[in-house]
Amino acid sequence: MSDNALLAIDQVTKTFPWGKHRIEAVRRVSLSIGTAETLGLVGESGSGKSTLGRLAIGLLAPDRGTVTVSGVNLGAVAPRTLRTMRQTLQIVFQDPGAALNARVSVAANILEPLVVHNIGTRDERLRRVGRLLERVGLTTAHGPAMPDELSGGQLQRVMIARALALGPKLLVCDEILSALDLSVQAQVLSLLDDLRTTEDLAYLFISHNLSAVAYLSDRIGVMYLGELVEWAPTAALVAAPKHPYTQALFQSILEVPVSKAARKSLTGIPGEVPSAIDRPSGCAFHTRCPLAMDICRQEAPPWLTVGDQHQAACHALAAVEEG
Amino acid sequence: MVSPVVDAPSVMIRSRASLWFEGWRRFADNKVAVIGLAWLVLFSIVALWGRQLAPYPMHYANLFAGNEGPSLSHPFGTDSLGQDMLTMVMYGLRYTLAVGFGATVVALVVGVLVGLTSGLAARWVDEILMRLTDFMYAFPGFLFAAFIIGVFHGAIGVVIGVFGLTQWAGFARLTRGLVLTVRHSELVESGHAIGASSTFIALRYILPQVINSIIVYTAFVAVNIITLQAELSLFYGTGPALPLISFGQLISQGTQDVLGYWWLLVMPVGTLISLLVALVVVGEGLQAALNPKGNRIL
Amino acid sequence: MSALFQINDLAVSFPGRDQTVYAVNGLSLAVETGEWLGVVGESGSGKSVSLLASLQLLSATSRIDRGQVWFDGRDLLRLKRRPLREILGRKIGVIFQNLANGLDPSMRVGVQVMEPMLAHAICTKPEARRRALDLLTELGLSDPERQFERYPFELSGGMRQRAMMAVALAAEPALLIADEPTTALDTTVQLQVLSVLQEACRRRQMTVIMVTHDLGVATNVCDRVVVMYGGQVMENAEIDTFIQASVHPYTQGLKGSMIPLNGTHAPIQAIEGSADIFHQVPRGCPFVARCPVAFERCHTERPRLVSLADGHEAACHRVEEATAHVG
Repeated sequence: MSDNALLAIDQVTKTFPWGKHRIEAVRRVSLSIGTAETLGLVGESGSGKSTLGRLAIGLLAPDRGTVTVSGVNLGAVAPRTLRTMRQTLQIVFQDPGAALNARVSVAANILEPLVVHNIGTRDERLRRVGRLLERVGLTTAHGPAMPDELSGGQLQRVMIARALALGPKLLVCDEILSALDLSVQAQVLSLLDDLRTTEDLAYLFISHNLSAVAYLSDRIGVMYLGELVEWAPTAALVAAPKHPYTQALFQSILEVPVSKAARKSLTGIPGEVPSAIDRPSGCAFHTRCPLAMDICRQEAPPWLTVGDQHQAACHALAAVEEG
Repeated sequence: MVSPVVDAPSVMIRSRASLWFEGWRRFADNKVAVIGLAWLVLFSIVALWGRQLAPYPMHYANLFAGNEGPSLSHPFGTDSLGQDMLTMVMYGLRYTLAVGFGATVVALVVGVLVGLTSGLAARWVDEILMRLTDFMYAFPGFLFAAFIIGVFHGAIGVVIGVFGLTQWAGFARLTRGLVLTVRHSELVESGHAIGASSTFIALRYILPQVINSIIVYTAFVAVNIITLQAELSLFYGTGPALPLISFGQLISQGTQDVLGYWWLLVMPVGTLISLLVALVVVGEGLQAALNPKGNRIL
Repeated sequence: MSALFQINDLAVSFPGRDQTVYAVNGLSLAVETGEWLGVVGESGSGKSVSLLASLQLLSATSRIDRGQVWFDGRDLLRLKRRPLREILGRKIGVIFQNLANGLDPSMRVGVQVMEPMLAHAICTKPEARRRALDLLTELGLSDPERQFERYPFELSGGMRQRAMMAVALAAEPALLIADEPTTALDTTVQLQVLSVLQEACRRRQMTVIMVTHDLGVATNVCDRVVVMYGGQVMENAEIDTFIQASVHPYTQGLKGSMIPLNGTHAPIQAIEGSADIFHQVPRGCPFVARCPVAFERCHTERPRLVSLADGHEAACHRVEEATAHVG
């Protein structure tokens, strides 16, 4: 898998300055994405998933570890080369209103990547913008509109069109549904689903919305406080999540019950994600974990293979395995 | 890549001009601001062509018509020497606007350059520039200006330079702050994401974000400088040497006889206040027009 | 039972320079004592606007065109500032979605929880302090003594939301209006906050109106759900009816838009487009442009809210015609 991987992230750590200290936003994460594959990353705020998304396409450089795209180490190439490589690596952000240039029209926004990379004549570019608009479910009539004249869902489509303009191979989607209405979320998710086949795209789909991640992804990685704690093929994870945190995440999803009587009780794990400034020792999840033992406070948990391509990092699971 | 569509439609790009037009439309909507702007234009005309427009020559004294109240021939009255107050006020306006405009431009250029450099350059450069800016903020600019202007007898170039140099710190802080917020915005990030160069990002994303706020702030700095200058000549009597005249001088002379000859004080003070109010009103109007989303710049 | 709080034919618009936005267009709803009512709909459906308007909490850019809001025998829309303030906080508690709106950043959390009790002269200061501490404990703030002295920005998102709930509950109001109270929170925290809120309101036998876009939340905590679109009620149903027998195409669309969590990859039946913004009062059904089963009548005639069964109403010509044929 890693030999022909489109993206390979290997033992990547990223820290940010915090006063006199540095906090670890991403901590020793490894993952890979194959061509036209969708990898989902799920986790709550502070899990480092957005930072990881930026690391994956070279918007941020890791402190340690390597990010390799089609065999090229992003850390070892010149800035100019990296800018050229961006043609294959694109990102869509959470808030299209903030990420689009509000001072120019929708069409001009989609045009920008083509201008930057000097692709095509003016006429060709405009035609391409027209096709892109239609590709994402808008029409050429939306081209002259200003971003603030469109709805959130339409803006997110514009953002996707802009990201597709250069014909990328990998699209990082960073919480792109969270600002949208339920019905629009479903539409955008369907659009991504379509594009994946027609454009031969691989996704790194980052979201706190477990249902959306599970819907779109081939495989899922679960993150907590900068670390991966479990990863598995989607079906396996949905059927039997192993890590106590993953289980808590599944439990916290409120689905429509079959009746009032069949409601489940509103109980979940206690506490909130701790701050990365004082990361808990050992397994970072031990402060909220119902299964926490002494060893969890002292030692980082080992990775265990718990199924076909299914791994989790947990002392309690290890204990079960041995016992 | 993009699916092949036969006879693919092209798209229209809305021109930049229409955007400025929309900004102007929003400004024009604000009647008070438009009146303020008209007032400023009127004052500017008076300042530029004051010599031709003034009803009497400068320092033309008619000793037989001293201390006359407002009348048709002297709408603003006359002073003890029989000089026409309207003429004096028009010349005062000329001087005040020259200093106000000149010093604001100096402050703007210095401040924005320092702010941009500070916001975009390496950390240590930023540190040095910001310490300098802090120093300028705490600096007793009023006393410094009084001293320098006193030494140089109020030569207009010196006055402009001194006021400009005491006021740039605000521009620097504003610009740096704006650059820093924009610099880490998703907008700039999305520029990096499409592989744009730093110059492209600075010109296309950062500058337009920053420029509106600076335009708005400029109006308020001009208010500051004009007030400061009036205060200075009022309290220290260090207005320009003849044949120039400043509002401060007029006002300080007017205060001496305020009970008997009220017009000597009221006319220059009223003109100055209306100038300041017009500037503030235009500043507020720009604020609203350039920022349709409603989040205040200042 | 009788209605504790009742909105009658409310219409709210936002007059603009070029065009007016008609956000609420003849909304009527009622909540009965002890009931937990969910108000659901997409953003732009008018759900938050109507409730804020009913308490005169909207900004000056809005205009209340008509309607009454009955509470405690009085029409809240006709009340002056002072008598309204006597009611808000004392008899009606409000929790906002936007964390920034709810708490004063410059005041200590504890003082803010004491505030409603002191402002309405419910008890003495030491007593208020004791009650505030009890309340914060009840709502699950860890280490309440310490949180009491803190400022809102020093609290985590979940803790801030609990503090805001404490402010809303401090004066023991009869009615709580909560606007998306858990939307901004992580799902594991949302679960905790909903749980303590439900517990606290039950203990006080409070009536609750909860505005939410999340059907999962609404169906898990509410007794009844009102579905809004275009500033009107589309459907109003007891929770079991809502889950099992909802009839309005908009309700069906909202349900269909939920992304299932079962590992399958069946296509999602989402509603087309996004919530309309109305620059004219909709003549027919507001949902007509997005409705998959709309017909001529829907464009021209506004559907009435028709009672289908005990406690179940819907405003839809299709539904009305179908039931008429059966009946």
